[in-house]
Amino acid sequence: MELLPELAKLYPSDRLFTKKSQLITYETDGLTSFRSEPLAVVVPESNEEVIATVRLCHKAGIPFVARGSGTSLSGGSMPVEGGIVITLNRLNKILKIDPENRFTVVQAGTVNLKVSQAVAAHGLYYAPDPSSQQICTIGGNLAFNSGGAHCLKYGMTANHVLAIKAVLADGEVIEIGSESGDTLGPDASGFFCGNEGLFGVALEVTLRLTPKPQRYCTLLAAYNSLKKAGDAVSSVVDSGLLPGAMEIMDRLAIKAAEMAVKAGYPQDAEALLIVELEGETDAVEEDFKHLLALIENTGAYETRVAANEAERLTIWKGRKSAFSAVGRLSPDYLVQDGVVPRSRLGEALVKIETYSKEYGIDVANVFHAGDGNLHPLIMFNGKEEGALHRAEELAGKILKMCVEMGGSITGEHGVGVEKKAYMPEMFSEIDLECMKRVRAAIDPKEIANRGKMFPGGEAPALSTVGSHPLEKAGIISRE
Amino acid sequence: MDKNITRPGSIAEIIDLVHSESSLLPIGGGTKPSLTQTDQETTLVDMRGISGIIEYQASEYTITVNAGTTLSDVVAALGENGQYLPFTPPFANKGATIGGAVAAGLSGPGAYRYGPLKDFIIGVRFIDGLGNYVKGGGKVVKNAAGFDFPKLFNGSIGRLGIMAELSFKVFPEPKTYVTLSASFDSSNDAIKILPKLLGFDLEGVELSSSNELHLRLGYQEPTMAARKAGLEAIVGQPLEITLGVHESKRWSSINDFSWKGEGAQLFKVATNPSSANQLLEIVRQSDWNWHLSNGGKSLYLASSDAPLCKTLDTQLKKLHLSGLQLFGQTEALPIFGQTTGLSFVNRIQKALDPKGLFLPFTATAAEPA
Amino acid sequence: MQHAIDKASLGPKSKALTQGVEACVHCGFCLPTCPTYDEMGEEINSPRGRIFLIKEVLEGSVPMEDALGPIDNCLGCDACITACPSGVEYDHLITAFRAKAESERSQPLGRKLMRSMILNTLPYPNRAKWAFRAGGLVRPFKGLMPKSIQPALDLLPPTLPKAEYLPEIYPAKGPRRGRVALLTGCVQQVLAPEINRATLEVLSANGVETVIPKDQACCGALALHTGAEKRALKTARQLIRSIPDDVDALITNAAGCGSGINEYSILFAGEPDEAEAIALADKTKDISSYLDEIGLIQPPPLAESMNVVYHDACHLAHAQGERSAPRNILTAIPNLTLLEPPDWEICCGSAGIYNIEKPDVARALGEKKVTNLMSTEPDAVALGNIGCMTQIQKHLESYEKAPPVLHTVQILAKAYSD
Repeated sequence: MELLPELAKLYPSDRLFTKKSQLITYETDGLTSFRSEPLAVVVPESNEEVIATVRLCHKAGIPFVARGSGTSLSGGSMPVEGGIVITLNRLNKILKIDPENRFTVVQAGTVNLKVSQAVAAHGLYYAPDPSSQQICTIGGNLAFNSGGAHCLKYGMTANHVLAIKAVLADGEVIEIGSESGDTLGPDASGFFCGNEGLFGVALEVTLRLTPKPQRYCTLLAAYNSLKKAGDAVSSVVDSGLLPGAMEIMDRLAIKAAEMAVKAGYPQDAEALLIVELEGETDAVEEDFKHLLALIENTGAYETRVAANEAERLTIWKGRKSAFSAVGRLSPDYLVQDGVVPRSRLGEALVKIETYSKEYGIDVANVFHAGDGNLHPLIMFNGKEEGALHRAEELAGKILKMCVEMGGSITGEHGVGVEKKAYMPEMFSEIDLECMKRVRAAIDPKEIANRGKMFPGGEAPALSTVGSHPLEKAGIISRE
Repeated sequence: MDKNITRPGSIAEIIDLVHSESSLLPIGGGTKPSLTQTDQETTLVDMRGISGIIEYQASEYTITVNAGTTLSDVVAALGENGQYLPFTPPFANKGATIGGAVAAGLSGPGAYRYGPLKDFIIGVRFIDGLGNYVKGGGKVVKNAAGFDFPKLFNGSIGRLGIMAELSFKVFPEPKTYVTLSASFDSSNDAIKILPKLLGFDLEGVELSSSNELHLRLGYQEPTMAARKAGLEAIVGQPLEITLGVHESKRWSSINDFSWKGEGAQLFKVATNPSSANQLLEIVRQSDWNWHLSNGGKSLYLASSDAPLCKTLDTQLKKLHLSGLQLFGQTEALPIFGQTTGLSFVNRIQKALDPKGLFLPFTATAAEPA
Repeated sequence: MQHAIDKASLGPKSKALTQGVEACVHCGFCLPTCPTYDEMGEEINSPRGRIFLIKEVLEGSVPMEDALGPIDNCLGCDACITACPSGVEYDHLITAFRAKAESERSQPLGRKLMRSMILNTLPYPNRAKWAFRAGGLVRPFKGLMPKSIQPALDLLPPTLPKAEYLPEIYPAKGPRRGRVALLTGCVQQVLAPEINRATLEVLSANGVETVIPKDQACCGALALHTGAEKRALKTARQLIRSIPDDVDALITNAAGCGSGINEYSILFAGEPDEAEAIALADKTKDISSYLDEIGLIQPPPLAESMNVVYHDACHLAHAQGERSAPRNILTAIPNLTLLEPPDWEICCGSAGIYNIEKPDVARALGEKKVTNLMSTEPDAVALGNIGCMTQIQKHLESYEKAPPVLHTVQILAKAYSD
């Protein structure tokens, strides 16, 4: 079966892109080191069109990837060369809001922050807050089980997805989970989250809504060493307080964020710690007194408390812009997402620093300290011969270190195309084989987001000329 | 039908069973008997031989345990460090195991504050239907690598594989609790209150069949009066305080289902405040005993009237709700009511257990493989 | 982002054309603030998509012709600049690329006529006046006119206000605190002469003497933003010559003009008079920024209390990064309550001559903007740009009790005179 003529029957010409100028803009996502050109891009306006597209792809054996806003930092929404991109941006309606029972039903292309905005009047919000929340979509969040700054207390996307309507890779439409959020039988919707698009395309998602805390208490503490900031996190944890978020930024990250959004961060600090408590006004204010007393003993040379919501948002804006802001310090960078046990954070940071010196590559650090999720930003200039190669080697060392410490290669960005070579560091042949069996049961032709998560298989087309460093190293191969 | 029971003491022994037996059903403390009832000829695998805490570092907020470990052992170990399983799984006093809690997908009143069990399970090692010892998830609180098997096994009622090792995220527990209670004329009046409690950090919100609403709070001396006043304004009446031993007894009795009555069948229905109210309208006309848990998310129904129990399936289907039977003679599958999601689960089961070693997720017993 | 653009072939514009490509990390933070992305949901009609497209054109893998549609669709509202954490200078990129595109494109006759008509009239107040009058006369017969000029006719006012006589020097009241030159603007002079009048009064009340150079010309923004570079250079040079050296600042009260002058570094890149042009650009200030800087003399309370919603003109908020000064001014007026509309960062659809060239998108944006403004239930709308003023007024027509749309200085002038 020829796929393009069939798609042309399904879509009017202004919603089926096949010209190079149109296709190239879908070549990549938030990880621009990897690019490949799709055969076509479709812009469905209904569930039926998505389902029909998936069924056509299945029949033709042509791979597809569903795409929201293309903000993946692991290459998760990068197309397969010669495959179809199904963009979900026009399927962005909020279908139902039930404030009494605290849930909402949204289409997969709905932007994360729009959900919170839509339910704000009811005193509710959607808790998961990836840094790209103003643009990333619920469908993408679901596929990659996105996190954010508030995961320690509130969990990841999967904890907030109650039910899913989806089309599987072979065209079966499923409805899993329930509005209740209490599961009966295997937690199928929980399992669907984080599938990295390998199962199919989520169409409608029922989300748990969280009551907006009556009060947020946020502080910013400046330290003259990263270690002190790391130790402060341990003291907070040991105290029995449960902050909504604990974030650390190092000197380079502070500098970048300040350049980008002028958050007023202390510029001479080696490390900044953000701690946020939230909940019932009286209880939180009382806890915050304890927290302030505790921080006083951690060697912070300056502590600021957000006096109002505007100040709180400014503190967060700096933190949430930090990744992209590093673009001001370096023409290219790789964002890593490894996790280490929290008690080994300090050790991990020292190692990263050693690697950084060893390779002569600057690494900025921004991380979710509360859950040990590191985000080293490895800076390089892609124009320099071999720079990307060295940066990726360094990234690989950091990932291996995370696994050796008992952590994970990814906390919230997903494996995608970027970290698939490192899956065997974390999972055995048997573990991976079992996952592959599950995939085969749902997508026998391996057309849904082919080339992601599992090591090996077809390699992505790469932007750099010649073979990719991972290829040279024998980690990935083109088939 | 006769059942063999065997009690393996190691993973290797379980793998041997997978290779030698034609049907297996793992079992823990047997505290939710309906979940392990079947007409099919099968070998019960008593998991209590695989027990003990594997790794627990309080400052990590994580614990890794063998699946056959009793809840009471886990709770005690965490308690020594001021921590707890925030989803407070039921039957901890009755010999339930952590594996059984996961297999049942059962949370207690604590789920109100931070979410149910599925939000806290972060890692699993299980033996699949081919005898592979498979790892899913990890031991750190945040992890997005690979398919999320830990979530899948929540509620798997022993039919997707045999869980051997489980990792959880845990939290600091309030040092002391206090319970504030109010009585209502009708369950309808009480349920209307539930959505208004938003914004209060409560450790439990339970409504009993005598229309008594119990609100559990972590005790914090300087703020108690203000918080109580805030809640009274919402509830619209003075709240009665319970403290100390009486307080903890009340909650352990809820968590042991002592209200159910001897010999009664027990069902859990996944609801929300609105659908719980709808269902209560119906069951109130018959001889059901009930308890609304977790702020309206779980409605438990109990009755000794077998014909009455049989009507529940139809009622749930009408309301598009699903239920899980915990006590009493079951049909082939303890899951009933609306079960649309099972088609997806069945496809995954075929991948994990291609030979059909474990019991199926179909309403009628499958032909033996 | 990495690229393989041959910088040497791009001449003096090479920095403007490559800075954005290099700085962009493709994070997508620009998407939610882009009006065309919001409307169409297509990557190619987003800032990030356009940057990618420009890169491909400059690398030679996509023909210029295929890029023109999405490039033309850009309103040049610069909202993406405010949103961008990586410091992409999108304004410079799109302006430089449009100039390049304009010189390479083959255009249909209708578009050429339309552009020529606009660029030959709007920047010249006298011509504009006659064109508006002529347009008003033919509006009843617009069905008979070529389709491409109908949207332009729709925007024309039924009648034009009386012209304001502007003296060459407007004196300061009280002790003199400064001396400035005023850019009177082209379209604004014809459509809303009262804005210049209010500006002079407000400056005077603040002890500032204003020079109004007689031989001043259009700043060139309209031509520059549409890629007509030569025309822009010619008129900009005349403006530069007309401004006396002894003023503290060149004041603009139309955000589009201010942002146009800000871009002289791009327009004049490689030109012999580049330094002079940049010197003038450095001296150019929006009226609100200037007043905020010198410190506003406390206005007396308004006679009647007033709820005012402030609309951020893209060319002020995004292109010039000025959001606080107008708000500081408005909140300084006693008896005035300042309201903030939802989605402030999204363009109203006016954007230079966009509402004439892309009427459908412009209409959708205009309607959204007015809905957002009206959701605050204002007594008046305040803003700092004539283009937005026309667009918002037009879309308010469908409201029964439409609030007046005023320049910030008009409200301030009213406070001083009350």
